[in-house]
Amino acid sequence: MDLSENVCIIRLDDFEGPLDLLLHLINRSEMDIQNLQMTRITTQYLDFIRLMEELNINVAAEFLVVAAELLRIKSKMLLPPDKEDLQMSEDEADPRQALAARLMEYKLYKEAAQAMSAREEEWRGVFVRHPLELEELRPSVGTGIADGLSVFDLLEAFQRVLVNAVDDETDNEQKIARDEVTVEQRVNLVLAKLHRSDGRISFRHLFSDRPARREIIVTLLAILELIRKRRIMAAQEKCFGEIEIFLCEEYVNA
Amino acid sequence: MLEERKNALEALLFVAGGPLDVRQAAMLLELPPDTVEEIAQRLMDDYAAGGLQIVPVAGGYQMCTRNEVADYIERLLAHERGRLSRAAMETMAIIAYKQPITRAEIEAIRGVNCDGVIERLSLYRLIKAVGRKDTVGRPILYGTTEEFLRYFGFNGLNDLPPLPEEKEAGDEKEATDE
Repeated sequence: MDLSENVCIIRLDDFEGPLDLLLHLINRSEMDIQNLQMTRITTQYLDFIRLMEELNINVAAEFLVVAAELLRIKSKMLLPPDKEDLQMSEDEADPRQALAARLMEYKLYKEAAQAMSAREEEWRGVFVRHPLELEELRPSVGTGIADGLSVFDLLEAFQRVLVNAVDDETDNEQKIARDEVTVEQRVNLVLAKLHRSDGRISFRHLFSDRPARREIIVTLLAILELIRKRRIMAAQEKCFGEIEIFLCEEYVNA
Repeated sequence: MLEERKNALEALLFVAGGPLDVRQAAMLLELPPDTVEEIAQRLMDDYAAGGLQIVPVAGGYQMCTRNEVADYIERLLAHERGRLSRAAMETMAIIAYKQPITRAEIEAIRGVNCDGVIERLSLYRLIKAVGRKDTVGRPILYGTTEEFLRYFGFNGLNDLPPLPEEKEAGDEKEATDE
């Protein structure tokens, strides 16, 4: 084999997949896709795979599938045509035909992608104003309860409380955790606090000033549990704002 | 009177931000679509020399900045706009030209798994599920979005440059679809 062909600079992220690699090897050897020199291209391809393995690069299964296909075609070409092949036209009988068609199609879209990249470049520097938030301009109504408050908003609020948490597990001593407060006890506590504050309390005020981690977690679980049972609601007036916890109406006087 | 409507259209484009559909503009301005296109053209001429431009995009018009001033805007935003990776762009091209298309069909062309890329393109709202193919497993069919047209500055899908060998590829597709 021509040694000079082995000397190549490899930039792995240059190759998007086995077909891309194959196209690269074909271009480099100035081969015609419709008339592949199977022995040569298969050797080059396998050398490349081996090199990737030597460099400890995880060779994706897709590369091996194409390697197997190359070997199949190569061996088929060495064998005399079988009966079926003889019935087909010369083009159809060529075992390289299907691979060539795939490569041509891939090449087509690879080139289209390049054209689109050029287009992207042209439009990348064009900026548009964000449409006005028409919602924002309309007068807000009633309670100020934002719809679509998700559990994630609640978790974020939770995280803010957690920042203030006294890390009760700082010492490396392994303690056996004792269930100081159960979720059930917390549920009752949350409800009691809500009743005391006219059925409305801010999320943050459900915690003591320097709450312990465990207290925070159990409280959060209690809140989630109460929301699930529809006994309380959580609302937020604006993004990243304070989350307020409400007693659901039918429980206010209960 | 048309002058007033032209000013109104200019203001609408400013407020809308994104592309304003010709039909919607026609309704708002109480003018026939042809006239809207006419005054839009005049507005485009007015803007020919500024830092802003009005371009026909996604079947409507859009007010946007001019490419030449991008550097200054990036300074204001303190970041450069990203580009699609090669893998993403290849997948984008296949979907743009062959839509509606399933993930398996895309993977057959590219020869690699496209899960991650499809997810990212959906996240950027450049593609969306447009239906399901009537075959085993009813796989999702993907197509391009209006955001795709906006991103690449196309007025419509027939604005896509023709593939160099589109005809042959089309024949091939029918042959391999069996």
